[in-house]
Amino acid sequence: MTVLSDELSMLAGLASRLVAGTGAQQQIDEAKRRLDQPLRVAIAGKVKAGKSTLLNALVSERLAPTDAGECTTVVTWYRDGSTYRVTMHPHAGDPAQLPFTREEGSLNIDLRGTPTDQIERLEIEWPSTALSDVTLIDTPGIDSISTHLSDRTRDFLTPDDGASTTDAVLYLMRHLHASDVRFLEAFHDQETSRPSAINSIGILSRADEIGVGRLDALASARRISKRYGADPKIKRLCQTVIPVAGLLAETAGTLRQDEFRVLLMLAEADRSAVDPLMLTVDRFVNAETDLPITPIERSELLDRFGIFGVRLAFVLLRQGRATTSTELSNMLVDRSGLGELRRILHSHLTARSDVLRARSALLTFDRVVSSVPGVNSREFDVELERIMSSVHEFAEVQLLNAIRSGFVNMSEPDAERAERLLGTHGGLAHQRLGADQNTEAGELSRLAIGQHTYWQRLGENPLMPRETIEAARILTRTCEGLLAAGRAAQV
Amino acid sequence: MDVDVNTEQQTSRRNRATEIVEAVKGAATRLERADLVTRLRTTTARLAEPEVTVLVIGEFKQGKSSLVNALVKAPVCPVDDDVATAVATVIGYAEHSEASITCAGPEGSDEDVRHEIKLNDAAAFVVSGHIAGTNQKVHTVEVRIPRRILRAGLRVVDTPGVGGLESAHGKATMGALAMTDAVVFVTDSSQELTASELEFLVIAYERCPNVICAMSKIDVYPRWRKILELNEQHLANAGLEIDIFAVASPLRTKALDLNDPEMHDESGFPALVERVEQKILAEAETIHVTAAMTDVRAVAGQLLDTETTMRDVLADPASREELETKAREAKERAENMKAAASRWQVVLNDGISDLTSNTDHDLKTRTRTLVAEIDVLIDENDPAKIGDELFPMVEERLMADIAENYHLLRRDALELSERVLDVFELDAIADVKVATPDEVLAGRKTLDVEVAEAPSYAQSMLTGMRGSYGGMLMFGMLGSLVGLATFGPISLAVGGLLGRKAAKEERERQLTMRRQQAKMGIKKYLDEVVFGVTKHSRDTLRQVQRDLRDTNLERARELATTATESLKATQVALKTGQAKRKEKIKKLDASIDQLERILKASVEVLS
Repeated sequence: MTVLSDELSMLAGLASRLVAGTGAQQQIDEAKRRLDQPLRVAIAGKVKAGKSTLLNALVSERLAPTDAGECTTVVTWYRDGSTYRVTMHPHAGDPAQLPFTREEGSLNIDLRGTPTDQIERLEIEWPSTALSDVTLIDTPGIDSISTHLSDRTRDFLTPDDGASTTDAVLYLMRHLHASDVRFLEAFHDQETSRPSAINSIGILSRADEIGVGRLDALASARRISKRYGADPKIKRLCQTVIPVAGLLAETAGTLRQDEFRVLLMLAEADRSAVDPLMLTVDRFVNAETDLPITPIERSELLDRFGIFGVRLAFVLLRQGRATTSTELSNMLVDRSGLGELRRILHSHLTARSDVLRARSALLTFDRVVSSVPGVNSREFDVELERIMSSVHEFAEVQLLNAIRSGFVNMSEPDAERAERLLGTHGGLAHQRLGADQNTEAGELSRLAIGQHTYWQRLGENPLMPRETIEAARILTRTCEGLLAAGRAAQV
Repeated sequence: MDVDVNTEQQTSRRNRATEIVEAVKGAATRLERADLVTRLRTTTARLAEPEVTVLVIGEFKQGKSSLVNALVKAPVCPVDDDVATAVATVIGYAEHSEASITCAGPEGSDEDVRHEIKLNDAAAFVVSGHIAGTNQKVHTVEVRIPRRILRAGLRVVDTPGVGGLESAHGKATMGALAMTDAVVFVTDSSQELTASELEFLVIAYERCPNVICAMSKIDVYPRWRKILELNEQHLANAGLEIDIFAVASPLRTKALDLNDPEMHDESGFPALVERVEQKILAEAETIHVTAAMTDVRAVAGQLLDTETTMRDVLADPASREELETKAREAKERAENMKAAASRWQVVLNDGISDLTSNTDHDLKTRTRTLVAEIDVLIDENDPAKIGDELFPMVEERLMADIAENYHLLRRDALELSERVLDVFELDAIADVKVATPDEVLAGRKTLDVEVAEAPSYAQSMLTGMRGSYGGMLMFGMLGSLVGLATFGPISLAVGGLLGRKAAKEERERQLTMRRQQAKMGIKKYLDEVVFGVTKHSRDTLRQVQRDLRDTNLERARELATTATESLKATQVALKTGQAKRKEKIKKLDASIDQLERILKASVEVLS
């Protein structure tokens, strides 16, 4: 990675010189600073896709307010900090610190009468290990009836001027919708000048609702997300699609002892007393019952778990698969898909945050330089092109996009092997080589050598189209990199 | 629990209407007016089969099929977490369950073919949309089952989910709106109405007299009351007077199984069913009964005319001259109506030729706009790279344009027929049948233009455009995408990376050639389809003209006959001897009395 960072500071210096003395200087400095900050990941998607809920689940705290109606109206950043602090950044004027309280966990921020359309973003500093290597950004939903809210998200993710402020996106979709794909595209276009799967992950959100609250809902959701993930159109736009039951994930991470006790009581009660309650949400809250649980308690339980979550917890407890609140919490985290999401977030995004951040920086440099009138950017353009094509990490990113878009002629197994090697299943060595997590270093080396030989041969086959040969050369280099890294680790 | 009582009441009203038609038919037979008897026979037939079509519509996965199943109390529409309805399913009434599919006929024929199928197989067709093992496309699946709610002539249509209601598919669905009696828009309780849903509702509300909204899945979303409140607000803000019914489909099924009225109330279905029967069915039936009673009044009036004339001459021979003059004038008027130069004929002929040229012009304008947009698109792109997505998009866009074109055609034709009836000065109800050009479109070839090979490393920016056509907006966005994609320094770097070096000029020459090929190909395709559709729409209008002319001529002929009969009656009356006169008057009074009672009944049945 040293090559990359050297090249970056060289280019940043060049850009600074070019725009020195103009207001753009500040933007270059800012982009440079971003290289050392945590990866910025935006959570985007249609209205009510469960963005805030997912954010809470990822932080394991109920921070973002959630509601039945539309709720998030301002782009909100959640970043790690040494103290608890909320700062408002207005479109015009200086940032201001805002007072806040917490109601039932979620933040209640006093905007002090500022109209939301004058706020560029809110920044919430929150000491949390979950935010240490990633800054999460909550956005208002698109396809909102309040079009100005949709516009706010669009402006944020795909600004007309200047570079996007995010490095990666979790895109929440409920069912695949024409407008979802269009949105993803717009994002990619602005970000990279061409579709790229590298920095986004699709999430089939509210996965528990797919089967209308049935117990096998998540199995269905998994099947559907696999199908989405295999669709060439989606493949071109995001690395993978995984199902997450957001509400359950949020609740599982913050399960309280009193909630566990009530659930356990339900599970141990006679079925004839419990079954009528489980029929509908209204009955769960209001039906007459001899069980020691008030309608208010029931309503709170439902708000936290959803009917699916209640049913699932009930079954897990009844079958004795979970006996303590920790066990139940872990099981629900797993069943909700949150566990997998965390793994994927690490392997696909944070593990390669250097490349992602570098990309954001290069694009910002480029945009800033070309936005300043009267600058002779020839030298800069040449350097930028050189870096984009010579730095191996970028070559990998571009190749992956080319394969995913179907522009490199490869057999299906070859394409899959290549994609894996380029990191679609995660950027760690064993993931790239398709091996188990516990594979020994020696075995990994053997696998890497095998792949190396394979791609080298393919690259030397004169009958192959030129694109395939180029692809094989890049993949050969990737194997060499893996081998070198493995050797370094052993030493 | 007896939710079907209203259906019974309505059936009885229709029976009453049928009785009245039969009574007047009896009188016409007795008076030997074969022409009027024939007319009434059509009336009876129309009354017997008043089909009321209710379209169930909404975005993907909102629970449309579950709602339909619960409504008709039978699992006719397949429900699945993933697989969605691919073909419209029509559910109607029959004594014994039966099912059939309609699909495209053999190659080269325009006619659709109908196959009987097993009821159990229907679901498979609905999901796959094809006949197993072939690529023969199924157009509709029709299921008929013995259910009381359907017996009054209700046909429920479960439609495939509309992916993005602004899509071509959505537009095509909107084309069907004007031809249905009612629309049930389904949205689930997981979230408030989205912008595209609301947009669709606005259009549906304009085009269809009866739109209701069903908010499904209230059994699983604890906050559904809040969502209901929000949705009601959204509708009110948009100025739509649409009622929302909160329902839980599985609960209705369960309640019916357990025979639990309380649970049934909770499912929200009793209110929905009541609405369908009390308002939608009743309104549609009122239209049918009104039409029948208009016929009855016209016929009874004419019969009365003859009978009263005879009676008056018999009672007072001095009035004969006056009555004869009146009858002669009536005859002259009727003869004038038959003449080709009569005013209504002129209005009709002029109207149809205006309509024909307007319809042609509309479609031409639409295709011209389309061609202009496509040209821009092709000029900014390489057809070899975007063809796979461009061609289907052109097709879908064209289909949407044609649907709109037919919507206008139908609206204008209906307006014309009202105008003609106005000039005709007769109590009648305008009715125009406009067939959609389904056969023409089903028989069309797929748009596929051969363009020369292009360098294989390329980027397609058109993803997602299929099915998400948004007019100029889309093209505008595409333009900006393409501009950036082509000229960014990074994409140049990619070119270098993959070592593709070709002489720039040669490349440009080839590109120009490909663009020409694509434009020509698309233009040829558009010309072909538009040619077929234009012919169809002209034929349709000619048929409308013929129908209107024939019906009105028939009416004029009837009036002429009535006048002749009245004249004849005065002669008969004169020849009647003094002795028989009293008896004859008595008989005529009875007949007049009967006809007047029929007239009265024809009004009463509607109140």
